[in-house]
Amino acid sequence: MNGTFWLPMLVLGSSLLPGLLIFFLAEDRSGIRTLLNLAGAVAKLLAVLWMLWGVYNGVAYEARLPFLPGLDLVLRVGPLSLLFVVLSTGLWLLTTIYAIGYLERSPHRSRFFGFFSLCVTATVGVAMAGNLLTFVLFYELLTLATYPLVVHRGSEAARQAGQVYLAHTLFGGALLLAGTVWLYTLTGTLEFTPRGFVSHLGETHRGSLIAIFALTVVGVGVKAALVPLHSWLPRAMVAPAPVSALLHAVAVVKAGAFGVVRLLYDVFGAEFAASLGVTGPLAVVAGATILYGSLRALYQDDLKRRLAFSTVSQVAYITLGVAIAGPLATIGGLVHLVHQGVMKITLFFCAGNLAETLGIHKVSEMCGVGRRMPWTMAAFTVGAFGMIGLPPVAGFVTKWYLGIGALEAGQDWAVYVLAGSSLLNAAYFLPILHVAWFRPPPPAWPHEHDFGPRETAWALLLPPVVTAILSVAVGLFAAAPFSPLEWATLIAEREFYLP
Amino acid sequence: MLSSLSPALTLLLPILWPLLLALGLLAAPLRQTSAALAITAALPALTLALAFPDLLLPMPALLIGGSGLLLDATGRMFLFGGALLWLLAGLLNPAATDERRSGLWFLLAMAGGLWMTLAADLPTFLAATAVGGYALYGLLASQGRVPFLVPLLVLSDLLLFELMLLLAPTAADLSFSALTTAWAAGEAVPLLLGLLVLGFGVKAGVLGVHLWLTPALRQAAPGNALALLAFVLAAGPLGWLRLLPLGAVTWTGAGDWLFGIGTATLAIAALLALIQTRQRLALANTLVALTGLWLALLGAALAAPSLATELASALPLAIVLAGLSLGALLIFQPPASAAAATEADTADSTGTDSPDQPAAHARWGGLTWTDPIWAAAAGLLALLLAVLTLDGAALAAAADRPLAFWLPAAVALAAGRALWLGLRGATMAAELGQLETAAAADASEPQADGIVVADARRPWVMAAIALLAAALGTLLFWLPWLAALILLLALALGLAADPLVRRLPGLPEGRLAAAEARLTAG
Amino acid sequence: MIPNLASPGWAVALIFIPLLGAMLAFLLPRIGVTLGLLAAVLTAGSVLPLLPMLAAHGATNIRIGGWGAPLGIELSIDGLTMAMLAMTALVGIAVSAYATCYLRPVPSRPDGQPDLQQRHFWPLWLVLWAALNALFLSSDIFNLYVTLELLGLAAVALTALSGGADALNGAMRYLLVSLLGSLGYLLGVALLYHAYGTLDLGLLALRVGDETVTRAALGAMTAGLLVKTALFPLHFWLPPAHASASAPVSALLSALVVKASFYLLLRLWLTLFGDLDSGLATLLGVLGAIAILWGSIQALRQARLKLLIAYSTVAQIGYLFLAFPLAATGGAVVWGAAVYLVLSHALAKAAMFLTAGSLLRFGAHDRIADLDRVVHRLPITIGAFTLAGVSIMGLPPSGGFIGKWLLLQAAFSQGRWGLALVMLAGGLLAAAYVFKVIGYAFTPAVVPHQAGLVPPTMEWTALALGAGAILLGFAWPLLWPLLEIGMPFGALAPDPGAAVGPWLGGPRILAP
Repeated sequence: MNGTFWLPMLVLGSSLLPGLLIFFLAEDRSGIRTLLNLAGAVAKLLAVLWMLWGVYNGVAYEARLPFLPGLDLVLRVGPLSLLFVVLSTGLWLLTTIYAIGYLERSPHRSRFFGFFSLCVTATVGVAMAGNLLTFVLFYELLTLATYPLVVHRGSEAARQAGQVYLAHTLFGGALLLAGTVWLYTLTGTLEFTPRGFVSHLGETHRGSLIAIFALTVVGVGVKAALVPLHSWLPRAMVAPAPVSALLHAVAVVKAGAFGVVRLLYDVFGAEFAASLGVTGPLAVVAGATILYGSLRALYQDDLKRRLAFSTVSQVAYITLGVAIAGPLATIGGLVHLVHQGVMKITLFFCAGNLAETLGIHKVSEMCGVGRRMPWTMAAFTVGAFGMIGLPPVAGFVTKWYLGIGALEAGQDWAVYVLAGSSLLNAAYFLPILHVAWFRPPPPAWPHEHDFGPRETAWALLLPPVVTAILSVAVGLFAAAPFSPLEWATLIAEREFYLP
Repeated sequence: MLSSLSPALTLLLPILWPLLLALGLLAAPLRQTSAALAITAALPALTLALAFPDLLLPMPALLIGGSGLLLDATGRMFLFGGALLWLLAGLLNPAATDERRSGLWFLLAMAGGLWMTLAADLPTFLAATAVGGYALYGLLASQGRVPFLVPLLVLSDLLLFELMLLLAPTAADLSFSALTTAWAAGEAVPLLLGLLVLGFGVKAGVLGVHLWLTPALRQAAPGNALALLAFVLAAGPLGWLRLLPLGAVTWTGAGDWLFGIGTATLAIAALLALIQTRQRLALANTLVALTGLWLALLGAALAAPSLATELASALPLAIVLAGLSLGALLIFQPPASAAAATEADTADSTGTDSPDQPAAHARWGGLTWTDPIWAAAAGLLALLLAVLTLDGAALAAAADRPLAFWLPAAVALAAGRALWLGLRGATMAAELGQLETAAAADASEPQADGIVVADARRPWVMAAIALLAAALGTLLFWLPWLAALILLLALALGLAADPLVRRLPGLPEGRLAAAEARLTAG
Repeated sequence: MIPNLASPGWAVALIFIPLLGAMLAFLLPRIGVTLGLLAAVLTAGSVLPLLPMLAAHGATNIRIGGWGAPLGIELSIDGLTMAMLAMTALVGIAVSAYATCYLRPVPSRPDGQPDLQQRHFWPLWLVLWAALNALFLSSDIFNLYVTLELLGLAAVALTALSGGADALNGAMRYLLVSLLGSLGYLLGVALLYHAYGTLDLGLLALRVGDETVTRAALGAMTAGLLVKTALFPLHFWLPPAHASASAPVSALLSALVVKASFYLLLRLWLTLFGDLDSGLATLLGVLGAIAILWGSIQALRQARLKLLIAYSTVAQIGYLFLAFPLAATGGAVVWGAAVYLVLSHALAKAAMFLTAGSLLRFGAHDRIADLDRVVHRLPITIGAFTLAGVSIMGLPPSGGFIGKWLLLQAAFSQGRWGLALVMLAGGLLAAAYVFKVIGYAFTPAVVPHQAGLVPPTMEWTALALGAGAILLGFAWPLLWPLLEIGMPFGALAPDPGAAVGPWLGGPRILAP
C-alpha cells in the first residue's frame, strides 16, 4: 500500500468522485460543477503524467482488490495501459472544456457531467485493467455509463439509438463474459501477461481456445465497431457532440479496439494466436471493415454520420494492425489508438461547432463556412488530412507502419486495403474541405448563434485547435521520446523481441 | 553539440519564416506587420542558397525514424530557383499578401515548396509536398476552379507512399541516399519505376496525369502562375533526381521506357503548344514538354551510366534555369495592355483624350517605347530556354539517342509559339484597351481618328525585335545558331499556324480570342 | 430474562421484538406508525450483535428455555442463516422507512385515524418479519412448517391490504396456492416424522437414508416449496399477487417471502436430501432455465411496470434453481453463488418495487410507455431502478454479477453449455426489459405525467437498496467467510470427511 497502489486508484478516483458528487448537484450550481469537472480532469492528468514518468523509469504500478474466489480486481499500469490512459485523460480534459461550452444553455447538465465522468472512469479502468475480469467489469460499466449520454436529448430517435446501442454492446458484453468465464475454467488465471497465458493449452484445447477467441473478439469487436457489428455507431450520432467525441475518440470505440489489443497480446499472445489461425480471419474482417466504413461514409450527407462511418473504418486500422501480428504492424495499430483519437476528436469538435454556432448538420450546408469559421475549419482540415494519411499529420505515421508491417508479415493485400481506404478517405473528406473553403457562403446560415466578435465561444474553439495542433505534433515529432510512436514501439518490443 | 549544429539550423529558416508570417497573419495584432513582411518570406531561402555552404541538419525526432534537412548541390539549385520564383510571385501578387486568406495559402505553399527542396528524405519530402500542394490548391482555387488537381495530388501521394513502402524494407533508412542505394542494389522493377514516374509525374506534368496543369495555369494571376511553376519544379523533377539511382545502374530496358515516355510527352505537348491560341496555354504545354525532356534525359542516363554523372550534375542547373526562363515568359504580361489600361483610366478621369497620344500610336504602329524592350527580353528568354534544352539534347545525343536533335527542337518550337502569342497578345491587348476607351467615349461623339485601325504589322514588329535580340544574343555569347534558327522557325510556324488553328473546332474562347475576332472582323 | 447482548440467545429477540411490535401497533393504531418503525429499527438492530457472536463462536444452536432438541425448541444459527437474517433486516428497515411515507394518506383523514392500509400494514408486516426470522432460525421441520404457514398468511393479508378487485383476486389466488404449498410441505413433515421419529433437522440428517419414504417426503416437500417459491410452471400466481399489492408489500413479497421458501428448500436439500441421487436436481435446473427465459420474455412483453418487475422475479428465481444441478459437482461455491443471487435479488428487487411505487405515486399510473421524461423529475428514483437493474442483469460490479459469474464458471467447467447459454440469454433479456423502462423514462409521452409529490425518503430508500445491490458485488471476500461459518454447504474442498456442518456434527450447545 504505497504510491504504486494509490496512484492508479487516484487516476480512477479523480473522475469517479467528482462524477458522483456532480450527480447530486443542483442544476444551477454550474460554477462548482465546472470546478469539480476541471479539478478532476487536471488531477487525473497530473497523476497520469506522474505515472508516465514512473513507468518510463521502470516502476510497476499495481493495485489489487480481492473480488471473487481466486480472482482479484487488478489495476496494473504498464506501457500499453499508459498509452490509452494518457490518451483518454488528455482528451477528457479537452472534451470537458468543450462540453462545458457546448452545453452552456442546455438543461440536465448535472446528469450529463456525472455520467460523463463515470464514462471516463470506466475508460481508464479498461485501460488499467490488469486481468480480463477487471477489463470486463469496466467494459460493462462503460456501456452503462454511456447509455444516458446517448439518450441525453430524450427524443424518440435518441431512445431508439440508445436501444440499438445497448442491444449491440450488451450482446457483445455477454459474449465477452462467456468467453472470459470459459477461459478461466481452462486456465485458472486471467492475469494479462505479455505474450499471453494460454499458450500451454494449445495442444489439448485448441478447439475451445478458438471458440473463446471468437467469443471474446466478437465481444470487444462490437464496441470496436467491426463490420457487421458496427450499426450502433452511426445511429448513436443523435447524441450531443461532446458525447460523439467521447464515443469515437476517447472511450467506447477505443475501449473495443484496446480490448482487441489486450486479447491478442496479453491473453492469447500474438504468436500463439497466429498459430491458432485466428489472426488471419480477424485481419480480413478488419480489412473489410476499413473498406466498408469508407464506402458508406462516401454517401452520407449528414456530417456526423459521415464522420461516424469514417470512425468505423479508422478504428479497424487498429484491429488490422494487431491482427497482422507482426512487430511493425503492431506499432502501427497501437499508435493509431492515439492518432485516431486525436484526429477524430478534432473532427467531431468541429462538427459540433458548426452545429452549435451555425446550425449546420449537413455537408451540403457547409458552403463557404471556412470564411465564417476559419479556425474551426482549419482544425477540421488538419483532422481530415490526418485521416487521409497525409504527412506530416499523425495518420501518415500509422499508415506507414501498417503498410510496412503488412509487407513484413507477407500480407500484401493489406497494403491494397490501406491504399483503397486512403483514396476513399480523400474522396469523402476533400469535397467537404473544398465546399467549405472555396464555395461562396449562403446569404444566411441555418440557425446562427451570436458569439460576438469571435467565430464561436472560446470553450468550443480551444479544444479543436489544441487537438489539431496535437495531431500535427504527434505526426511531425513521431520519432521524439515520449511520442505515441515511441511508446508503441516500446510495447511492440516487449511483445515481440524481449525474452 | 549545439554550436556544431547551429549553422545547420539555418536550414530551418526558409521554412519557418514563411510559417511564422502565416501565423502572424492569423493573429489580429500582428496582421499588419506580417502582411507587410510577407514579401520577404522567400529571402532567407535565397540567402541560404547563395551564401551558405553545403549543410546537413539531421532531425532524428521528426517523422518516421527521423528525418533531416539537406543543402547540397542539387538542392541548392532548386532552392535558388524556388526562392527566386517565390520572391517574384510575392512581388507580383500583392493581393495574395493583402487578403488574409490567400496570404495564408501563399505563405503555406511557399513553406511547403521551399521545404521540398531541402528535404533529405522521402517522408519529409512527402510532408512538404502535401503542405505545398494543398496550399497551392487553396491559392489557385480562391480565384477560380482548378479541376483535377486535388484528385491527382491524392493519387500522387498514394503512389509515392507505395513506392516508399516497397523501397523501405531493403533500405537502411528513408533518406534519399539510403533509398537510392537500396534501389541500386536491386532490380529495375517496372512497378517501382512506374510508381516513381507517375508519382512525381503528376506534379511535374507527365502526359496523362498533367490534366490539372493547363487549366490551373490558364487562369492563374501572374504571381500565382509563378508559385505554381515553383511547385512543379520542386515536386516533380527534383523528386526524380533524388530517387533515381543514376550512375549506379545500367537499366537499359527501363531507361528506354522512360526515354519513350518522356519523348511522347514532349512531342504531344509541343504539338499542343503549337496549336494554342493563348499564350498561357502554350506555356503550360511548354512546361509539360520540358518535363518530357527531363524525363527522356533521365531515361537515357539510366540506360547509360557513363553519361549519368555528367548529367546528374548538369540537369539541376538546366532544369532550374529553364524553369526560370519559362517563369519570365509567364509574367511577360504585355506592358502594352498595362499601358492601355492606364490610358483608359486617364481617359475616364479626364474625360478627354490627350491630343498627342494618337499621334504616338500612329508613329510606332501602336507601340509604346517600352514595348520593344520587353519584346527583346522575351526573345532572349526564349532563346535561353532553347539553348538550355539544347544543352540537354547534346547529352542525349552523347547517349546515342536517335531523336536527340528533335527533342530540344520541339521544346524550342513550343517556346517560340508561346513567344509569338505573347507578342501578339501584347499588341492586341493594347488595341483592345483603346477600343474599349473609344467605345466609352463614343457614346457622346464619334472620334474617328481616336480608334486605331487594326494594324496586322504590329506583332511582326514585336517579333522582329525579339528575333533581333535573340540573334544579337547568339552572336555576342556564341550560343548555338541552331537555337536561333529554331526560334525563327517557331515564329514562322506560329504565324503559319494561326489561320489553321483558328479553324480548329472546339477550343474555348476567352476574352483575347473574342477581341481578336472583333478586330479581324473590323 | 434479558438476554446478554454477547450471547447467542439474543437471537430470540429477532422473533419476539417484531411480534411484540405487531401486537402493540395493532392495539394502539394512533401511534401505530411510530411503534411499527420502532419495532422495525429494533428488530433490524438486533441482527447486528449476532455478527460478532457468530464470528467469535461459529455456528451455534440455541435452546429456548434450556430444553434440547427432541423435546424443546431449538434455534440454530450459521452463516447461511445469518445472511438471510441480515438480508431481511436490510430490506425490512428500508421498506419500513419507505412505507411510512408511502402509506401516509394523501388527504389526511378528518378524524385523525390512520386509514385502513396504514393501520393494518404495520402489524401484518411485523408478523411477517417475525415469521421470516423464525423460519430462518428454526431447525425443526415442524416449527418450520408453522413459520411457513404464518408467513404465508401474513403475506396474503398484506396482499389484500391495498383493496380493490385486483388485489383481492390476487390475494385469493395467493392464499390458495400458499395453503397448497404448505400442505405439501406438511405431508413431507409427516412422512419424515413417521419414518424417523424426529422433527429436528440435525437428528434427521443423521437418520435419513435412501428409502422410498424419504424420496416421497422429498417429493412432497419440494413440490410444496416450489409452489411457494413460484418456480416455473408454478409461478402463475406470483405476477398478479405481486403486481396488485401496494409497493412496499410487493417489495417484501418479492424480496423476502419468496426467498424464505427457497431458503427452506435449500436447507432441506443441503441437510437431508442432497445425497439422494435422483434426477430431481436436473429437473429443477431445467425448470429454472425455462423460468429464466419465460419470465424474462413475459417481463419484456409487459406494458405495466409492476407486472414487468413481477415477471422479472419469476425469471430471477430461475437462476436460483440452476444451482441444484451445478452444485452436484460444483460444490459449496455454487451454493454460495445461489445465496449471493438470493441476497442481491432481494435488495435489487425491493429497490425496483419501491421505485415502481414512487412512480405510481408520482404519476398515478405505471404504464411504461407513458413515463414521460420522469428521469428529469425523479432522477434518484430512476437511478435506483437502474442500479437495481444492473444487478438483475448480472452486470459487473454487482451482487448479481458475482452470483452469475460463479454459476457460469460452474456451468462451463462442467460442460453444461445449455445452462450457460440460458444464463447469458437471461442477462440479455433482463437488460432488454430494464432498459425498456429506462429508455421510456427519457422520452416524452403523449399523455403527460401528472406531477405528484414523492417524499425524499421514498426516493432515497430505493436508491440505498439499489446501491446495496451494487456494493454487494464487492463484498464477496467479506461475505464468503461469513457464509462459510458452520459450513452449511459442506466443505469447499471436495473432501468428504470434512463435510461436517452444525446439522451433522455436534455443534456447540448453548442455553441462554
